[in-house]
Amino acid sequence: MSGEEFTKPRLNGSLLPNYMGRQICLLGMAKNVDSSGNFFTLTTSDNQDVRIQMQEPLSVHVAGLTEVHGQVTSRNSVQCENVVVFSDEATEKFDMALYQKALELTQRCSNHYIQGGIMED
Amino acid sequence: MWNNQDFNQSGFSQVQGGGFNTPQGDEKKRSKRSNNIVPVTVAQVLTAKHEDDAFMSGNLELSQVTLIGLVKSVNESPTRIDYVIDDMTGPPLDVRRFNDSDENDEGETQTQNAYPPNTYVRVNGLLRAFGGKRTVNAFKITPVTDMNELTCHMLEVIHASASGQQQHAQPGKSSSMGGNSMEVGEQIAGLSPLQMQVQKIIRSDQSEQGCSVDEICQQLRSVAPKAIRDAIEFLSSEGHIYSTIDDEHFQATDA
Repeated sequence: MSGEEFTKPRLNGSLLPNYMGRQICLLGMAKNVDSSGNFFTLTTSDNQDVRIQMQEPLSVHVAGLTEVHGQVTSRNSVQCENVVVFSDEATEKFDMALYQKALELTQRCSNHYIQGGIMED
Repeated sequence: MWNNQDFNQSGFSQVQGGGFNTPQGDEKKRSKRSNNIVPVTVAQVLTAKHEDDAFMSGNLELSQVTLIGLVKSVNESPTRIDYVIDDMTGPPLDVRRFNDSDENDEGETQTQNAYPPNTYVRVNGLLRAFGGKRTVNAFKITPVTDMNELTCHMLEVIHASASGQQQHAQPGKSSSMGGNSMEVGEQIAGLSPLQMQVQKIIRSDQSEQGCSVDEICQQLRSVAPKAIRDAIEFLSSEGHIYSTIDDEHFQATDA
Protein backbone atom coordinates (compact mmCIF):
# COMPACT_ATOMS: atom_id res chain seq x y z
CA MET A 1 0.00 0.00 0.00
CA SER A 2 1.45 3.32 -0.97
CA GLY A 3 1.00 6.14 1.47
CA GLU A 4 1.08 8.85 -1.16
CA GLU A 5 -2.65 8.94 -1.61
CA PHE A 6 -3.12 9.68 2.09
CA THR A 7 -0.44 12.32 2.36
CA LYS A 8 -1.50 15.95 2.65
CA PRO A 9 1.80 17.85 2.60
CA ARG A 10 1.98 21.01 4.69
CA LEU A 11 2.47 23.88 2.31
CA ASN A 12 2.38 27.62 1.86
CA GLY A 13 1.10 29.72 -1.03
CA SER A 14 4.31 29.66 -3.03
CA LEU A 15 4.42 25.87 -3.11
CA LEU A 16 0.86 25.35 -4.30
CA PRO A 17 1.64 25.33 -8.05
CA ASN A 18 3.75 22.19 -7.53
CA TYR A 19 0.79 20.32 -6.10
CA MET A 20 -1.98 20.95 -8.59
CA GLY A 21 -4.92 18.63 -8.08
CA ARG A 22 -3.42 17.12 -4.94
CA GLN A 23 -4.62 16.94 -1.35
CA ILE A 24 -2.68 19.37 0.83
CA CYS A 25 -2.68 21.09 4.21
CA LEU A 26 -2.45 24.84 4.74
CA LEU A 27 -2.01 26.56 8.06
CA GLY A 28 -2.50 30.32 8.03
CA MET A 29 -4.56 33.33 9.02
CA ALA A 30 -8.14 33.54 7.79
CA LYS A 31 -9.79 36.76 6.67
CA ASN A 32 -12.42 38.13 4.28
CA VAL A 33 -15.07 35.49 4.79
CA ASP A 34 -17.73 36.26 2.21
CA SER A 35 -21.29 36.83 3.34
CA SER A 36 -22.57 33.52 2.01
CA GLY A 37 -19.87 31.60 3.86
CA ASN A 38 -18.66 29.91 0.69
CA PHE A 39 -15.26 31.57 0.38
CA PHE A 40 -12.55 33.03 2.54
CA THR A 41 -8.94 34.05 2.17
CA LEU A 42 -6.11 32.30 3.96
CA THR A 43 -2.81 34.14 4.32
CA THR A 44 -0.13 31.47 4.48
CA SER A 45 3.17 31.56 6.37
CA ASP A 46 5.00 33.12 3.41
CA ASN A 47 2.49 35.97 3.27
CA GLN A 48 0.67 34.67 0.22
CA ASP A 49 -3.09 34.92 -0.03
CA VAL A 50 -4.89 31.74 -1.01
CA ARG A 51 -8.55 31.61 -1.90
CA ILE A 52 -10.37 28.90 -0.03
CA GLN A 53 -13.57 27.56 -1.53
CA MET A 54 -15.98 25.69 0.73
CA GLN A 55 -18.01 22.74 -0.51
CA GLU A 56 -20.86 23.87 1.68
CA PRO A 57 -21.29 27.16 3.51
CA LEU A 58 -19.29 27.55 6.69
CA SER A 59 -21.06 26.49 9.84
CA VAL A 60 -18.34 27.76 12.15
CA HIS A 61 -16.94 31.22 12.67
CA VAL A 62 -13.66 31.33 10.83
CA ALA A 63 -11.09 33.89 11.96
CA GLY A 64 -7.46 34.00 12.98
CA LEU A 65 -5.30 30.89 12.94
CA THR A 66 -6.96 28.34 10.69
CA GLU A 67 -5.95 25.11 9.02
CA VAL A 68 -7.41 24.01 5.70
CA HIS A 69 -7.23 20.49 4.25
CA GLY A 70 -8.24 20.21 0.64
CA GLN A 71 -7.42 19.96 -3.01
CA VAL A 72 -5.38 22.47 -4.99
CA THR A 73 -7.57 23.85 -7.76
CA SER A 74 -5.30 26.58 -9.12
CA ARG A 75 -2.04 28.38 -8.34
CA ASN A 76 -3.70 30.23 -5.52
CA SER A 77 -6.92 28.45 -4.68
CA VAL A 78 -7.89 25.38 -2.74
CA GLN A 79 -11.16 23.54 -2.44
CA CYS A 80 -11.67 22.86 1.23
CA GLU A 81 -12.62 19.42 2.57
CA ASN A 82 -11.98 20.11 6.22
CA VAL A 83 -11.29 23.24 8.21
CA VAL A 84 -9.83 23.48 11.71
CA VAL A 85 -10.28 26.78 13.52
CA PHE A 86 -8.07 27.64 16.46
CA SER A 87 -8.79 29.77 19.51
CA ASP A 88 -8.01 33.45 19.81
CA GLU A 89 -5.38 32.54 22.34
CA ALA A 90 -3.71 30.14 19.93
CA THR A 91 -3.90 32.77 17.20
CA GLU A 92 -2.13 35.30 19.37
CA LYS A 93 0.60 32.98 20.53
CA PHE A 94 1.42 31.46 17.17
CA ASP A 95 4.84 32.23 15.70
CA MET A 96 4.15 32.24 11.97
CA ALA A 97 7.73 33.05 10.97
CA LEU A 98 9.01 30.01 12.85
CA TYR A 99 6.36 27.82 11.24
CA GLN A 100 7.50 29.06 7.83
CA LYS A 101 11.07 28.05 8.67
CA ALA A 102 9.94 24.64 9.89
CA LEU A 103 7.98 24.21 6.68
CA GLU A 104 11.04 25.02 4.58
CA LEU A 105 13.00 22.45 6.55
CA THR A 106 10.43 19.72 5.96
CA GLN A 107 10.71 20.45 2.24
CA ARG A 108 14.50 20.47 2.28
CA CYS A 109 14.95 17.50 4.58
CA SER A 110 12.23 15.26 3.26
CA ASN A 111 14.36 12.27 4.22
CA HIS A 112 14.09 13.34 7.86
CA TYR A 113 10.47 14.50 7.95
CA ILE A 114 8.93 11.38 6.53
CA GLN A 115 5.74 11.68 4.54
CA GLY A 116 4.17 9.05 2.33
CA GLY A 117 6.31 6.12 1.29
CA ILE A 118 5.62 2.41 1.22
CA MET A 119 3.62 1.35 4.26
CA GLU A 120 4.91 -1.85 5.78
CA ASP A 121 2.72 -4.86 6.68
CA MET B 1 3.73 3.00 39.37
CA TRP B 2 1.72 4.33 36.44
CA ASN B 3 4.07 2.96 33.87
CA ASN B 4 4.06 -0.49 35.35
CA GLN B 5 0.29 -0.53 35.16
CA ASP B 6 0.44 0.35 31.53
CA PHE B 7 2.97 -2.33 30.74
CA ASN B 8 0.74 -4.90 32.35
CA GLN B 9 -2.15 -3.72 30.28
CA SER B 10 -0.28 -3.83 27.05
CA GLY B 11 0.77 -7.30 28.05
CA PHE B 12 -2.90 -8.11 28.40
CA SER B 13 -3.72 -6.88 24.96
CA GLN B 14 -0.86 -8.84 23.51
CA VAL B 15 -2.39 -12.03 24.86
CA GLN B 16 -5.51 -11.11 22.95
CA GLY B 17 -3.56 -10.94 19.76
CA GLY B 18 -2.23 -14.44 20.18
CA GLY B 19 0.87 -12.88 21.63
CA PHE B 20 3.97 -14.93 22.04
CA ASN B 21 5.34 -12.36 24.43
CA THR B 22 4.54 -13.07 28.04
CA PRO B 23 4.51 -9.91 30.13
CA GLN B 24 7.68 -11.10 31.77
CA GLY B 25 9.34 -11.65 28.45
CA ASP B 26 8.32 -8.14 27.54
CA GLU B 27 9.95 -6.71 30.64
CA LYS B 28 13.23 -8.39 29.83
CA LYS B 29 13.20 -7.23 26.26
CA ARG B 30 12.31 -3.73 27.27
CA SER B 31 15.23 -3.45 29.66
CA LYS B 32 17.56 -4.24 26.78
CA ARG B 33 16.06 -1.54 24.64
CA SER B 34 16.74 2.13 24.70
CA ASN B 35 14.57 4.24 26.96
CA ASN B 36 14.28 7.10 24.53
CA ILE B 37 11.06 8.60 23.36
CA VAL B 38 11.38 9.49 19.71
CA PRO B 39 9.45 12.27 17.96
CA VAL B 40 7.94 10.80 14.81
CA THR B 41 5.48 11.31 12.00
CA VAL B 42 2.72 8.80 11.36
CA ALA B 43 4.28 7.93 8.01
CA GLN B 44 7.53 7.23 9.80
CA VAL B 45 5.76 4.82 12.14
CA LEU B 46 3.98 3.05 9.31
CA THR B 47 7.01 2.76 7.01
CA ALA B 48 9.44 1.60 9.69
CA LYS B 49 10.91 -1.86 9.20
CA HIS B 50 9.80 -4.45 11.71
CA GLU B 51 12.74 -6.75 12.40
CA ASP B 52 13.42 -8.92 15.44
CA ASP B 53 10.56 -7.45 17.37
CA ALA B 54 11.96 -3.92 16.93
CA PHE B 55 10.78 -1.14 14.66
CA MET B 56 13.54 0.61 12.76
CA SER B 57 13.20 3.87 10.90
CA GLY B 58 16.60 4.24 9.30
CA ASN B 59 18.97 4.09 12.27
CA LEU B 60 16.39 5.07 14.80
CA GLU B 61 14.73 2.42 16.90
CA LEU B 62 11.09 3.30 17.45
CA SER B 63 9.68 2.03 20.69
CA GLN B 64 8.35 4.90 22.76
CA VAL B 65 7.18 7.58 20.37
CA THR B 66 5.62 10.99 20.54
CA LEU B 67 3.56 12.56 17.80
CA ILE B 68 1.07 15.34 17.15
CA GLY B 69 -2.00 14.86 15.01
CA LEU B 70 -5.63 15.62 14.43
CA VAL B 71 -8.29 13.42 16.02
CA LYS B 72 -10.33 11.97 13.17
CA SER B 73 -12.55 9.66 15.16
CA VAL B 74 -13.16 8.51 18.70
CA ASN B 75 -14.56 5.21 19.88
CA GLU B 76 -15.20 4.79 23.59
CA SER B 77 -15.50 1.40 25.22
CA PRO B 78 -15.51 0.35 28.89
CA THR B 79 -11.80 -0.43 29.06
CA ARG B 80 -10.33 2.06 26.64
CA ILE B 81 -10.76 4.81 24.10
CA ASP B 82 -9.72 4.19 20.51
CA TYR B 83 -8.66 7.18 18.46
CA VAL B 84 -7.78 7.54 14.82
CA ILE B 85 -5.12 10.21 14.49
CA ASP B 86 -4.09 11.97 11.30
CA ASP B 87 -0.96 14.13 11.02
CA MET B 88 -1.18 14.64 7.23
CA THR B 89 1.96 12.60 6.53
CA GLY B 90 0.19 9.39 5.60
CA PRO B 91 -2.79 7.16 6.36
CA PRO B 92 -4.39 7.76 9.74
CA LEU B 93 -3.01 5.88 12.76
CA ASP B 94 -4.86 3.85 15.39
CA VAL B 95 -4.11 5.03 18.87
CA ARG B 96 -5.46 3.29 21.96
CA ARG B 97 -5.75 4.86 25.34
CA PHE B 98 -6.41 2.27 28.01
CA ASN B 99 -8.16 3.28 31.18
CA ASP B 100 -5.71 3.51 34.04
CA SER B 101 -6.74 1.50 37.04
CA ASP B 102 -4.96 2.42 40.21
CA GLU B 103 -5.35 -0.63 42.37
CA ASN B 104 -4.53 1.27 45.53
CA ASP B 105 -7.89 2.95 45.20
CA GLU B 106 -9.67 -0.38 45.50
CA GLY B 107 -10.14 -0.86 41.81
CA GLU B 108 -11.57 2.57 41.17
CA THR B 109 -10.95 3.37 37.55
CA GLN B 110 -10.00 6.79 36.40
CA THR B 111 -12.46 7.88 33.78
CA GLN B 112 -10.92 9.91 31.06
CA ASN B 113 -12.40 12.53 28.83
CA ALA B 114 -12.38 11.67 25.16
CA TYR B 115 -10.92 14.38 22.97
CA PRO B 116 -13.31 15.55 20.24
CA PRO B 117 -12.66 15.02 16.52
CA ASN B 118 -10.99 17.80 14.56
CA THR B 119 -8.80 18.83 17.48
CA TYR B 120 -5.04 18.50 17.72
CA VAL B 121 -3.56 16.25 20.38
CA ARG B 122 -0.14 15.08 21.44
CA VAL B 123 0.24 11.35 21.82
CA ASN B 124 2.99 9.71 23.87
CA GLY B 125 3.00 5.95 23.72
CA LEU B 126 4.41 2.59 22.77
CA LEU B 127 4.52 1.40 19.20
CA ARG B 128 2.97 -2.01 18.76
CA ALA B 129 1.86 -4.29 15.96
CA PHE B 130 -1.04 -6.72 16.17
CA GLY B 131 -1.37 -9.09 13.27
CA GLY B 132 0.32 -6.72 10.89
CA LYS B 133 -1.57 -3.62 11.97
CA ARG B 134 0.46 -0.98 13.77
CA THR B 135 -0.98 0.92 16.67
CA VAL B 136 0.30 3.15 19.39
CA ASN B 137 -0.71 2.30 22.93
CA ALA B 138 -0.80 5.74 24.43
CA PHE B 139 0.14 6.27 28.03
CA LYS B 140 -0.55 9.95 27.68
CA ILE B 141 -2.71 12.04 25.38
CA THR B 142 -2.94 15.78 25.88
CA PRO B 143 -4.67 18.49 23.90
CA VAL B 144 -2.52 20.91 21.94
CA THR B 145 -3.54 24.41 22.94
CA ASP B 146 -0.54 26.27 21.56
CA MET B 147 0.11 25.44 17.91
CA ASN B 148 3.75 26.38 18.34
CA GLU B 149 3.91 22.89 19.77
CA LEU B 150 3.23 21.60 16.28
CA THR B 151 6.04 23.69 14.83
CA CYS B 152 8.31 22.46 17.60
CA HIS B 153 7.36 18.85 16.91
CA MET B 154 8.17 19.18 13.21
CA LEU B 155 11.60 20.49 14.11
CA GLU B 156 12.14 17.79 16.72
CA VAL B 157 11.27 15.06 14.23
CA ILE B 158 13.84 16.37 11.79
CA HIS B 159 16.44 16.81 14.50
CA ALA B 160 15.97 13.31 15.90
CA SER B 161 16.22 11.78 12.46
CA ALA B 162 19.27 13.83 11.50
CA SER B 163 21.06 13.07 14.79
CA GLY B 164 20.36 9.39 14.37
CA GLN B 165 21.98 9.41 10.97
CA GLN B 166 24.93 11.51 12.02
CA GLN B 167 25.93 9.08 14.74
CA HIS B 168 26.26 6.36 12.17
CA ALA B 169 28.00 8.58 9.67
CA GLN B 170 30.85 9.59 12.00
CA PRO B 171 33.12 6.57 11.51
CA GLY B 172 33.04 7.21 7.79
CA LYS B 173 34.09 10.82 8.20
CA SER B 174 37.45 10.32 9.87
CA SER B 175 38.80 8.24 7.02
CA SER B 176 38.87 11.29 4.83
CA MET B 177 41.07 13.10 7.35
CA GLY B 178 44.08 10.93 6.60
CA GLY B 179 44.62 7.39 7.75
CA ASN B 180 46.65 8.21 10.88
CA SER B 181 43.96 9.12 13.34
CA MET B 182 41.84 6.17 14.26
CA GLU B 183 39.57 8.35 16.31
CA VAL B 184 36.32 9.80 15.16
CA GLY B 185 37.81 13.26 14.96
CA GLU B 186 35.65 16.28 14.51
CA GLN B 187 37.28 18.92 12.44
CA ILE B 188 37.41 22.24 14.20
CA ALA B 189 36.94 25.02 11.75
CA GLY B 190 39.21 28.04 11.75
CA LEU B 191 42.44 26.39 12.84
CA SER B 192 45.72 26.76 11.02
CA PRO B 193 47.42 23.51 9.96
CA LEU B 194 49.88 23.74 12.86
CA GLN B 195 47.14 24.43 15.40
CA MET B 196 45.25 21.47 14.04
CA GLN B 197 48.24 19.21 14.37
CA VAL B 198 48.93 20.34 17.94
CA GLN B 199 45.30 19.85 18.86
CA LYS B 200 45.32 16.37 17.37
CA ILE B 201 48.40 15.34 19.32
CA ILE B 202 46.95 16.64 22.58
CA ARG B 203 43.62 15.01 21.82
CA SER B 204 45.16 11.61 21.17
CA ASP B 205 46.82 11.64 24.59
CA GLN B 206 44.30 10.03 26.85
CA SER B 207 46.45 10.02 29.99
CA GLU B 208 45.21 11.78 33.10
CA GLN B 209 47.91 14.40 33.31
CA GLY B 210 47.58 15.12 29.64
CA CYS B 211 50.14 15.83 27.02
CA SER B 212 53.23 17.86 27.88
CA VAL B 213 54.60 20.66 25.72
CA ASP B 214 57.89 18.77 25.45
CA GLU B 215 56.13 15.74 24.06
CA ILE B 216 54.45 17.87 21.44
CA CYS B 217 57.77 19.48 20.48
CA GLN B 218 59.30 16.05 20.16
CA GLN B 219 56.54 14.91 17.82
CA LEU B 220 56.85 18.06 15.72
CA ARG B 221 60.60 18.35 15.58
CA SER B 222 60.62 20.38 12.42
CA VAL B 223 58.54 23.09 14.05
CA ALA B 224 60.01 25.80 16.25
CA PRO B 225 59.06 25.41 19.94
CA LYS B 226 57.91 29.06 19.98
CA ALA B 227 55.43 28.36 17.19
CA ILE B 228 54.15 25.35 19.08
CA ARG B 229 53.67 27.37 22.26
CA ASP B 230 51.83 30.05 20.27
CA ALA B 231 49.55 27.39 18.87
CA ILE B 232 48.93 26.01 22.36
CA GLU B 233 48.15 29.52 23.61
CA PHE B 234 45.64 30.02 20.82
CA LEU B 235 43.96 26.65 21.34
CA SER B 236 43.74 27.30 25.05
CA SER B 237 42.18 30.71 24.64
CA GLU B 238 39.65 29.23 22.22
CA GLY B 239 38.76 26.57 24.71
CA HIS B 240 39.90 23.58 22.68
CA ILE B 241 42.48 22.56 25.30
CA TYR B 242 43.04 23.17 28.99
CA SER B 243 45.99 22.84 31.33
CA THR B 244 46.03 19.99 33.80
CA ILE B 245 48.73 19.44 36.45
CA ASP B 246 50.71 22.52 35.45
CA ASP B 247 51.24 24.99 32.64
CA GLU B 248 53.19 22.46 30.66
CA HIS B 249 50.51 19.79 30.42
CA PHE B 250 47.30 19.97 28.42
CA GLN B 251 44.22 17.94 27.58
CA ALA B 252 41.70 18.45 24.80
CA THR B 253 38.20 19.52 25.75
CA ASP B 254 36.46 17.29 23.24
CA ALA B 255 38.42 14.09 23.81
